[in-house]
Amino acid sequence: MTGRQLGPVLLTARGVTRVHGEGATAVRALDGVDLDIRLGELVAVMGASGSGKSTLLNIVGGLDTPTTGSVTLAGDELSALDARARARLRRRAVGYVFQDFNLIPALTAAENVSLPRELDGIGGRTARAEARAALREVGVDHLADRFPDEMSGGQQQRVAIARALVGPRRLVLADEPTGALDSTTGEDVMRVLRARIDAGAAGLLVTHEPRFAAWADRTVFLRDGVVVDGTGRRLEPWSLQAAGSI
Amino acid sequence: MSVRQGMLALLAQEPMHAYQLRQQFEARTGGTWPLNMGQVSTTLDRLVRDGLVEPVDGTEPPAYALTDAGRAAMREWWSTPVVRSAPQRDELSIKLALAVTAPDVDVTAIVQAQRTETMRALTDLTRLKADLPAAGPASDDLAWSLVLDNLVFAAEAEVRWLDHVEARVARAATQPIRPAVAADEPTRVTR
Amino acid sequence: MRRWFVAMRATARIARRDAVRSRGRTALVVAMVGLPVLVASGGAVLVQSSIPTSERQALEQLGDSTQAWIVHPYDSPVVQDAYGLASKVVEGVDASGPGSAETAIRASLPAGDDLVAKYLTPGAVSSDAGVVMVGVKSLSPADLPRAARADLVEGVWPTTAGQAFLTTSTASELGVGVGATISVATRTGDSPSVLEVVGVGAPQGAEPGAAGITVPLGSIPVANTPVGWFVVGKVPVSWDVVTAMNQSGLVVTSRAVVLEPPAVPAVGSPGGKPWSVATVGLVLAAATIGLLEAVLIVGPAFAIGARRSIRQLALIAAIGADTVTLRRIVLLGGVVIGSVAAIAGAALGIVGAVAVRAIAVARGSTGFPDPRIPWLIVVAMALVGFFVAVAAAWLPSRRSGRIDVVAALGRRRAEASPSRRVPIFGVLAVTIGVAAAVVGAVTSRSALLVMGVVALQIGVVAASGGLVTLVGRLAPRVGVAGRVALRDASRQRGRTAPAVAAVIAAVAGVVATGTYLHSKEAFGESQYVPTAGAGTVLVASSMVDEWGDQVHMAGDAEVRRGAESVRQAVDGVGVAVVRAAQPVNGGWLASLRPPDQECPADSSARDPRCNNLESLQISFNPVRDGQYSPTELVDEGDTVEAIGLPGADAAAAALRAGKVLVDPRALWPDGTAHLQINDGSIPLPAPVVVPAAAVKRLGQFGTVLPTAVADRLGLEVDTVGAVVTTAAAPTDAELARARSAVFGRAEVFVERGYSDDTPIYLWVLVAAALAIGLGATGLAMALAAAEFRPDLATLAAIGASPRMRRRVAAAQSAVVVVLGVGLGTLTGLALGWVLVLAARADEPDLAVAIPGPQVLAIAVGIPLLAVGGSFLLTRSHLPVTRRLAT
Repeated sequence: MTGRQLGPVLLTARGVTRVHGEGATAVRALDGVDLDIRLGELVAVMGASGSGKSTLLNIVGGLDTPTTGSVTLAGDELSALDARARARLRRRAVGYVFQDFNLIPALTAAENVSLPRELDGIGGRTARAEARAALREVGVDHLADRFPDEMSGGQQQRVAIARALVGPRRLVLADEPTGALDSTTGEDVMRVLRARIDAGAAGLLVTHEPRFAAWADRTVFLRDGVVVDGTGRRLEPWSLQAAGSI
Repeated sequence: MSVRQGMLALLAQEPMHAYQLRQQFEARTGGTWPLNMGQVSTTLDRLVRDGLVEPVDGTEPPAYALTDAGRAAMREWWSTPVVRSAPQRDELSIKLALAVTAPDVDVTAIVQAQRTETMRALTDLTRLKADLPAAGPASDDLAWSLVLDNLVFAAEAEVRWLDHVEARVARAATQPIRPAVAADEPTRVTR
Repeated sequence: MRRWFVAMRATARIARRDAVRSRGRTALVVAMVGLPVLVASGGAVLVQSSIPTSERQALEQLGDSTQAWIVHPYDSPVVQDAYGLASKVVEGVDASGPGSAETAIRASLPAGDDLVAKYLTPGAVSSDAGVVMVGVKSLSPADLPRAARADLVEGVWPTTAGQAFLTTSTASELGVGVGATISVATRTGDSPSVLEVVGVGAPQGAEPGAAGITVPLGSIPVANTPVGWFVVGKVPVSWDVVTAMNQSGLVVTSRAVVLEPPAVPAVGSPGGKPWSVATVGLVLAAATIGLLEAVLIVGPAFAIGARRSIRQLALIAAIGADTVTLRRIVLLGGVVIGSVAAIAGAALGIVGAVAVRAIAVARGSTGFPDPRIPWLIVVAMALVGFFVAVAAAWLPSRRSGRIDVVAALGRRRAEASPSRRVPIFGVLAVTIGVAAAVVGAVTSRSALLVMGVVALQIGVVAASGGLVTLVGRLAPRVGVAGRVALRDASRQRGRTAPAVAAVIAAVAGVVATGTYLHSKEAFGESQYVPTAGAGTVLVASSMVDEWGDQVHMAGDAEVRRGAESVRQAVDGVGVAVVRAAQPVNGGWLASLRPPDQECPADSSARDPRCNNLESLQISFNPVRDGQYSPTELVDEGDTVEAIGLPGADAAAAALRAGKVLVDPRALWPDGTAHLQINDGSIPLPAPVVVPAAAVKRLGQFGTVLPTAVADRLGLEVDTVGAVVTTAAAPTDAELARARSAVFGRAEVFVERGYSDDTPIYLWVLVAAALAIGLGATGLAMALAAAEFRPDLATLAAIGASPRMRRRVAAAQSAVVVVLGVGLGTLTGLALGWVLVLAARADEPDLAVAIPGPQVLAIAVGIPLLAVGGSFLLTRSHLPVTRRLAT
């Protein structure tokens, strides 16, 4: 993993501020957040509840709009796009993975994965092939025709990851994807996510558990909507032999 | 203490000589705690002196085996939880405890810097874990990954504690500070 | 284009699978949409099946053994359909010469067939046990067996005059069998013919209960011309023969043609009176209201499981669906469910109706002669059902396009923040709607009326959401249960408002219809002018029979005899004769009015001086050349008393004091009347001034004179009938006996007062409102209960008593039902007022009458039942459950 080349910048956020409410009851969910994500990079965002992590995720994917600041995703400035265009962006450029209830219960795994493509008008064999390929990459293509209620939590999250990166999508936005899973399964899911990103994608991971954030290349800490610190340095492999003091 | 118990555990499986003991210990704990031969010999002598281990006659180099008392001690070790009540001296705890009472120290900066470092360490540990195969490893790999997990969880616990410290300090800063205490009274942290 | 299609397919897949998965909701909507479709199509099938086909009607006409049936309705050439049931005169062709119909028939009759003339005489057939009024058929004895269209069961066919053949039902009604004697009274007033029953049988084809009596020619007097001819024999009557006979104005029902109809264009029957604009408007308005309400009532069913589906919709939005796609998913759900419900409802309705008919036929009923399916109506019903389902899904689909995706994903309760625009739009719509409806009603513009009604309904429904929020402001003033319910209702507007709208719709519809019907009934009652006191029997001694001839009882003595037999038949108390007067040399008697009471030439219809309310249920005519109804009654007081209208005693006393009774407007200030004989002479003779009193019109009689005054004026007096007073109103059987006693010579009428079935319909409407109102409220309650469990658990954790759950449930249903019933009643009254206004185009004096008991039952009863039901039916314990919403 060392010396790995990072690709072009996929996401740029500058001075993103999100205020809810007005006047005395105004709440600043985010305050002047800057963020860059490049292809091949997994960035973790950590913070207490109410620190603005989920708001950041919603804004970056176009589900929410910042009060001030700009977000550029796949070359498009989000504030210049209307709701339909942002929806199109969510079909083609970015995918979400939530903590739970990621899949539509009425569709099979393959249909869930191909849904963004079908909503975009790509159907038939192309979409099906893409779906199967995506499922294979996360190791659950044998579940392609199963329904979500026939799968375990970890399997569902894998399908969600497959869907988030199906087709031309390159950026996955994950909101506590391991929150509803036990420790070992969570680790499996993080492995899969890491592998997919290493294979040519990028990710923004929101979590409150440091050992999962550790799978990222760097971690950004949010407190009350403001970035307080982050592990920005590029890392060298750490040798246990050299530590000694533990 | 744990080196003693570790050797007893190894000898419980089969009699070994000193060099074997060292090699096995390092292998089974993934090389996390390297031993030198001097430590091994000293520990063996102590075990013989305490009657838990006895040399096996006629072996060259000399091999050691458990006595009955040694086996009893082993069983007790497996079944007795590691006592936690006496905390280890922790450099970080001491550092922060002193920092919050020192008048012109920016505790928040210390916390944030430490957190960044611990996260970095955590990330490194996770990379090592990632290199291991995910499921059903051979027993050596399992031992190694358990030790690794212990380190990961410990680092995570530290990060969490640091978050907590940051929040406590932030809240304490908004509350009225008690008047400065007299110099000869024991120092107390204001709440 | 292909892209759109693929996206639609994915959308449709989600909608379809969702419909299958949420079985409860799907079943509910299918039931709510499908059941009415089922009932409507099944009903249509049964109704249509109860109408015999043209073929069956024609074949019934022919019985089993005749070839054709010929009637002669016109003198000019006609065209007819294949069944002889519809015919019409050929325009522009002159009437053919007067030759006899029979000649014309025989000219075209196929060789080998015979003609049998059938005569029909109305008669009263009586035996010791009973009386039957029926048309007596007379046929030539030789052909009687073939042309009687019956099968002999007992006895033999009549062969000579003086014998009779009865159907089994007539025989049993008369209580006679073979060998008994019956007497038949016919119109000419001759003594009744006495006949011997020699045969009893079952009619072919027709209902087994059909009445009938067939006698050989000569048994009773018959008219000059037969009512029609049968063709009997072996040779069928072909279509060519039929068209030949058509040239002479004959209409033929021929078995051969009926069994193999030629391809001829249908003959339209002359249409009835075209509908007035007001009626069209009324029907359209009613249909629109009905459809709108169906949509509003089905709507809440789509809200079931809203929370779960909101989460799913938010997820789909996060995956990349835009607002349009989200709306389509919900709408397509309506399409899927609607089509299933419509098709299933229609199919099951048809199957059910056919099964019902089969069972009825197996049990011997003949109410459904042929299985007939009115496909157009069935398809229309299915389409209506489908439309209702889709329209009901339309509003939730719009709402789903506005969900707060971020909030829904964050697992907070996400409701699209209630827009303030909608309630304002609602109030505007109500105002515009009422204005438009009133204008449209008053100016008879049905389009405007319908649009106004629709706008009114939509407006009320749109404003209901805002009202729910408004009502929520009351929360701080009520107890815990009320506060919880009010807050929940106003925050979960998406669930509460549709239920309120449904209740509004149902109640408004019922109250509007009830008000309209009751107003019409009240008007009818107010317009009804009784001819006599209730229960009084009037006998008019002359009448016009079916042949247009005037028949009568001649002379005072005969009238009294007839009246006495009527009195005996109805068990009456007393008899008073009716004597009418007219000037000897023609003309009429006018009672002149004071100048200020004259009806001005440029009068309006509402001027009280100009209207004349007459009741013409029976009219007394003397026997003279020409026909007229005299308006002068000659009486010493007994007749007026016997007639028994209000004020009869005072009127009789005035008559006995020698005064004349006239219209109040013709009474001069000095208590006299100015009577003038208007016989066309110039100048008119001077009026005779006599003391007078006022009286309201007695049937056709506007002036009542004591005999002395009539003599003084030189009037001729005839006995034209009688009045029979009774202690109790005669039964139908007594009336039948009275009629048969004077059959063919006089007319008998019983004043029964104003009767109407409207009250029954009103209570049926109340029941419907109850059902729908309670159903909608129950539905809202079910929705609330499912989503409310976490809150109830919180209440339990806080320490609320188990009874709290009941109180909360009662409060929740109270919010929905009180708002709904209150607004619905007000809207309904307004709508009813508009409908009455519209009907004023036909009847200008129609006034609005509110059916008090029914409206009260709805306004008070439904809330009581709903709240009470919720209270009693809710389990009285609080759930122990996860407090987090799933």
